[in-house]
Amino acid sequence: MKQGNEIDKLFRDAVYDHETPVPEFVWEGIQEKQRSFGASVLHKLQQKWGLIALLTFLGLGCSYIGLSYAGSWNKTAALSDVNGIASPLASLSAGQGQLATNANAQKVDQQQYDEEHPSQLVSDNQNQITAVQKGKADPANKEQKSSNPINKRTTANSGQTVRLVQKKQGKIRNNDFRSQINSSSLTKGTVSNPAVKGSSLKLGNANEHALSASLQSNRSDSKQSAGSTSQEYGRKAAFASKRDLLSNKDDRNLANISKLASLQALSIASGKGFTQQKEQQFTKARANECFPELIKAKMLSLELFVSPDNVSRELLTYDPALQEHVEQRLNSEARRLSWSAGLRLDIAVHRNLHLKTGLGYAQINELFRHTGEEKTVTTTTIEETEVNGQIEIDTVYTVENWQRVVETGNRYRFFDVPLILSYEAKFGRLSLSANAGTVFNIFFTQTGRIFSPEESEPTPVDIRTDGESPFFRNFNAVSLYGGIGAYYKIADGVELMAEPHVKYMLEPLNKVSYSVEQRYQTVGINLGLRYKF
Amino acid sequence: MQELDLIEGCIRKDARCQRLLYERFAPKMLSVCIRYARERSEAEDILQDAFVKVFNNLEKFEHRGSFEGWIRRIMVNTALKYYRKLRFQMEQSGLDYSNDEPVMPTAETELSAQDLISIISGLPDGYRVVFNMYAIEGFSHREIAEALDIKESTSRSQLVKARKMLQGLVTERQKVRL
Repeated sequence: MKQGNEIDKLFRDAVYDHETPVPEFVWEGIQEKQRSFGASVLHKLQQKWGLIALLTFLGLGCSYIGLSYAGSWNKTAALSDVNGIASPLASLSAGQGQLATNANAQKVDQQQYDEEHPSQLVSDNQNQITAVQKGKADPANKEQKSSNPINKRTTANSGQTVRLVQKKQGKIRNNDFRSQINSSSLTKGTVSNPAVKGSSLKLGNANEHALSASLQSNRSDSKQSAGSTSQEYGRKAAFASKRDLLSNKDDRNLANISKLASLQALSIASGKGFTQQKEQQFTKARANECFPELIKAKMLSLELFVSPDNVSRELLTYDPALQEHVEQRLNSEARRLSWSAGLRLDIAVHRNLHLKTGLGYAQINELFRHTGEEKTVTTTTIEETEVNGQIEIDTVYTVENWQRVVETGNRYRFFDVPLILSYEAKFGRLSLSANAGTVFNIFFTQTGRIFSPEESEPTPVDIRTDGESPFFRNFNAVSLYGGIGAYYKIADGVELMAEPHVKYMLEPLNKVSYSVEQRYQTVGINLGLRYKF
Repeated sequence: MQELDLIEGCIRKDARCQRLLYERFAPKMLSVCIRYARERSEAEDILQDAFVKVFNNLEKFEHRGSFEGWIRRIMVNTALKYYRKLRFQMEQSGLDYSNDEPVMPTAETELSAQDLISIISGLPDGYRVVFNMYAIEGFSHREIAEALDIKESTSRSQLVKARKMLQGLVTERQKVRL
């Protein structure tokens, strides 16, 4: 029994430099193909008409979106986004700089405010008098104090001693909602949110060969030397016809028969040795140049990815009565980093053409922050103290500036089914793909707060009537998706993937009853793995 | 005519130089194509396509390795392209391309190069391509896996099976000779 290497050597030495006589029609075919090379380029373009049409469609779509943005911002120049939520194109709007109001500029340094306006500390809006016995704390009052999330600073009345009655900071947390009442000296609240040839083409080749053979046969009547060439053409045509029949398994027996026939036609030539020097030279030379265009033959792949998303928001209304409300929302809502994740099944429908579908989750994060008007509250406390048998009475005035700050993390959650067409080309370990398609939303839910259009007060969006939000729909029809994917093979069947992408919502998220159009466009990069089955 | 002159002539699209270059390399390259193809006519198609590529890309030849090696690579790549197309068609149609019944070579009196080529041609597609790439051309399993988009383990197992089948065919042929 020969070892594997011996078998290899036996065949290598015998066949590496083996030569086979080449029929004349092969050279004629080469000349013909060279002449039609220019035409074949056009033919390839025709074969890829689908891809070209898709790219054209995408280009037109992007142009339309761009024009829509420009138009919408001209209409709603007064609704410019001060928090940078709105479309990036909004920054190009001429009206923005003049009409935008910076919410941050309205913030007042409370400590400085107290120092500059001491008189207001005395102008009480609310007074409260509490009698406190010396050394005896009222249990009820104590409990009230311990649970009171208020920071207090006391100021003595007309030169009297200043006492710190209570200093405590507290927070009320309810999910992401935080209501906080600050004293005048309290620092600002912080935000803490959690190409296969078709059979017709082959038949075309076969017919072509047959026709050529026929023509050549006619010519051979007058040329004796052309007789052998005619036979070669005939044989070529027969082989091509048989090859075209290989679409089912039974017909492959014909191919085997023709294979035997073709082998008999081979002439025997002496083989020259496969020297070690030649082997090394050849191996080095081909190292980085082989296989420039590889074709995916794997049918199924699975992609798992996450993506940090940068989201731009479009907030529009055509109702003049709601313009102030929209401006209020623009001032109170700020974008935060969003993200998405997904699982996609990649099906090769053609050599380079793939269809991708699966399930995706996207979460858009925003911060709602509202600072209410400042209120001054003075509390008067009378304390009785027994000193050497005498009772002294102190009157303590506690002045507080209250300001309500509401912070909520708004979350818009989307459960999607993408349907994406992808054209993929492989370059060694690296594959590049152009992806375009639609994303169908199957469920959309939201939590957080926005300003109510009627009362201008923060209102939860997740308080639902009959299971529905008063502002938003339960699903958001269709989005357009486009991306450029790069895959790098790291192991057998496993590839790293990076896919920068954009997604644009075709329809706004709001209900018809809430006539403020809210839609998003997302720019992100899918990072993950692709596994080939 | 020297090889360099031939190349320059071909770059100038000189028909005579192209013909000379073709005559010099075509016989050897046809043998390469036959080893990869399923049948003779397919090998001739591959040879045609590959020579068109050679003539259209000659200016890209950098004169680093041997010119013959460069042409041979184009032949192998073109043959692999045919193979991948075939495999994709088979997968699409649900056919099993790896279980073809091998074509038994005709009995000859001695094991010539022609005999061995016919034996290789009798291998199933997957075995034949892997064996050619590994044993004859000298590719590594990793390179084969990259080229054919298969796992390295698949390439190894195909090679082992190919060798085993070749061993059997050679032994059988030798028995006939005796």
